[in-house]
Amino acid sequence: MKNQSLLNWLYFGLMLFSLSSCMKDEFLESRSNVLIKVDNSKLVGEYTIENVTVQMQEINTQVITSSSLGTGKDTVKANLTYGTYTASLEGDITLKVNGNDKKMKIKARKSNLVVNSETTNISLETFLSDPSANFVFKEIFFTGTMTPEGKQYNGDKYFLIHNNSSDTLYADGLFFAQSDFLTITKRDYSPDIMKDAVTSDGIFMLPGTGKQYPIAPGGDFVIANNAINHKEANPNSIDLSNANFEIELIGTINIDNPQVPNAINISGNMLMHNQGYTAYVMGRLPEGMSPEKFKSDNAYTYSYVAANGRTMNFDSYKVPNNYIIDAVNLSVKTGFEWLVTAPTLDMGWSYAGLVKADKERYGKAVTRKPLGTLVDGKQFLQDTNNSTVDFNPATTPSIK
Amino acid sequence: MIRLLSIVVFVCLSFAVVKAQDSLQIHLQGIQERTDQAAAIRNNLYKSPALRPFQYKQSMTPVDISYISENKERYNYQLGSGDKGIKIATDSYMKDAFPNMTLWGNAKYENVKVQNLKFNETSDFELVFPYVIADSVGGNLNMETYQFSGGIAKEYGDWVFAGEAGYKANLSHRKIDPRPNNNSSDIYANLGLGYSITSNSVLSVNFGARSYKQRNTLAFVAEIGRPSIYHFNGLASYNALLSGSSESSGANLYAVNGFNAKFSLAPKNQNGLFAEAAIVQNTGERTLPLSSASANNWTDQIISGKLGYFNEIADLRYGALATIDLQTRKGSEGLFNNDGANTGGYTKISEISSYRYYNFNYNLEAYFGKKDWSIKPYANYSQLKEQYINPFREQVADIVKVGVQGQYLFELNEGLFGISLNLQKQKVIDKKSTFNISQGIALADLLNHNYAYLTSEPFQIAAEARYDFVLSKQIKPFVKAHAQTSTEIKQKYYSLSLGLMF
Repeated sequence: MKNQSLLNWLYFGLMLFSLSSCMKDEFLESRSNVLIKVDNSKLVGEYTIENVTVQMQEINTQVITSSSLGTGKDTVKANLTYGTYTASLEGDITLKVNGNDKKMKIKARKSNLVVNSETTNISLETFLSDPSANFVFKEIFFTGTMTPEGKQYNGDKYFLIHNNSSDTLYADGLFFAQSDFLTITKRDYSPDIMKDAVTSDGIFMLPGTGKQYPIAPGGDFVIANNAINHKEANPNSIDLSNANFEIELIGTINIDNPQVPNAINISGNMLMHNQGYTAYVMGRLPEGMSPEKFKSDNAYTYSYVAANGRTMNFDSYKVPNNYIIDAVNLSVKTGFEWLVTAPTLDMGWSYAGLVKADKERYGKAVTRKPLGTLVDGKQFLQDTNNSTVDFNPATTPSIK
Repeated sequence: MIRLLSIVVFVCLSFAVVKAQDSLQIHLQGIQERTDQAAAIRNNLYKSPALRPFQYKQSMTPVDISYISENKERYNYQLGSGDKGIKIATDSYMKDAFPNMTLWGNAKYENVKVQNLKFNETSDFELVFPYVIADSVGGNLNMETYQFSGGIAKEYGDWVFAGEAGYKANLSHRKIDPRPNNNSSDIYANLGLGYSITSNSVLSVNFGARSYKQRNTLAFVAEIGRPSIYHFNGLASYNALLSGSSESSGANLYAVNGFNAKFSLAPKNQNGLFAEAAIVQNTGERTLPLSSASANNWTDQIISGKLGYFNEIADLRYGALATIDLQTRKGSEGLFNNDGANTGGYTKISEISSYRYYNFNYNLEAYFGKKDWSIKPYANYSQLKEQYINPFREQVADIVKVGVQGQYLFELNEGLFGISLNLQKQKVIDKKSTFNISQGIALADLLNHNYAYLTSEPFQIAAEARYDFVLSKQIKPFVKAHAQTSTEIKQKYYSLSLGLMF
């Protein structure tokens, strides 16, 4: 004990003698008063924003400084060391869509921001982000065109597909199906599987190894019937030679563009109904499921009793609803009888023709409405699973 | 190991007592000057050019070759688990080679394998830390060192004019991935002026300058399994913009320039009061391949002072020396902007002072004894503090080392036999660390491991035996064996030297 006490006094003496007070140099760093303006100019309609946080990350040191946007304010203040920053903003937004609240995220991101002066002004343009967003039908041109001679022209139909998310998605392996059932003719199909699946025998799938066809956030791609310049054969038509994919139609009307990848037919050769009496769905098969297994697992025989009393039997396939990521019911304005998908997929419908066999429908499409902007100013499209409100009917095709 | 050393020392001491003599033969006095631990304390004080004429009484040129083997179970990752290899050295001192002129020269070659380095692929760590290139794989490093220096001092009456210059080169490489290839050169020159203020006291002033450069590359041959390369900025923080790649696109360049100044008051005959104040300051710069602008700049300053008194009464020798060394290293790091599309590379936009290293050492040693034996008790108190700004990281350790070293020299068959035993205990009296780093990753392991090593409390025992014998008046061979072991860090060091004294 005595020795220990002696040692303690020795240590105490050493500490008194030491010059540890000389070890208190301040770290020197230049700092900037940074004003970060939150620019919501690309948001449309009625909305409220809350819980907005801005993170500034210095890319050399990886130091993150977080600041919150005050209620009712549009500017965030931060005191940052000089450096090169990446700014990222995230907040909650509640949009009014057809009277209903839709909760989403707003985001903003800007990189390579040099902060090396006493004051720095930064503007962050916000965009919408829906964590559940995926590919959606942006435009469906199903009516075809008329030739100057007044004849129907069919090969120029197309799907315009949009990446409605804030992430890069891959088109590889997406399948598309056209419903067997018509929206203008309601029947009692037996067995009734509509609440669980869409009935279709016109199904194709896009090729790819999984990450062969990336689509950037807000990006589009086109699936043409025939990916050629139809204007050469029909001046009233459009140029689809730059389409990303083409459907393999039945031999008599199929014109193959070897420069454009062909979709793989799983069932039948989809011929888009030129009056728009069907529904279209797209989705993905579960991981590891081949088209063959899909067909063997989902073969579906249904029947209905015709007006003359005969029982009509059909062989088709059921496309489970949980495989489907977007669905659009189409019809004519004054002929619609029922939705041919479960309402969980689509609660409404859109159209190009006003009445059945409407000759004015040619050259018209249905086009999804924009709701705001994604990253880089790309469109964020309205997707409430109600095609009546989500789509503008009888629109002019965007592809010329 | 400790038991073995104890037996060796005990046997040697017993033998020495029997053979001890009161005084040494004249032809052995030059050897004694270079092997006696009490003389060594004083000799080290006379290394400034203007004090060299008073360093030794006898001219001598030892040449030796040594094999060293060092193994540590616990060690600083960035310094390795020990060196293995050979050293060849000569250290010539010619007193009055010409009238009133002293010459000295030094040449050394080392070829060692630095074992198990990790998170440091750069040479000369002590000079360039913390700004090293690092990866988590590391490995052994083959290192060759060449060193030459020479000096001259001329006495004119009460004045001494002196100068010396030296050069050191270090070539290091590894033949398996990751493959560092480091070449460094260090050139220095010192000038000194001395004036005898009394018949036994000389006042000297010495100034020096150095220029150091290192070129450091890191290459990989294997296409897969490459670790990330980090450019450390202190306590395992690194520049994220410049690090992370497993491709090193060019050379990392280090440049250190410095000066030193030393003012001394010394007794000419090494008996009396010794006082010295000195400053050594080096400024360093690191440039990375991605930008021509400096990535790091640092200033290292050591302010030191020495105060000692040495005396001999009859055949009793005694003395004490207090030294203080205050080392401060302050570093800054560049912040870059990769605006490659506009400027074609990385542009430096700012820099922050982000690193501090303090190593304050207070040392007290004394000796007493006679010509053939001496006891040297010593104590060292060191305060170490290392900090990085953001994320804040810090390690602090106040460490006391207390030890005693005994030496016995005796004549044996016309030769001089010397044995020494050194016992030392290290005690940590205060410590703390804040690393602010996610546990479980390699960099956290590096920091925690090095901190545990820094704050360990080993007991060290070292023993040395040396026999100098006389073949002729000019040629005096010697053999020296040294062994050292430490508890807790489980460190073992052995060396065997064969040499000649001319």
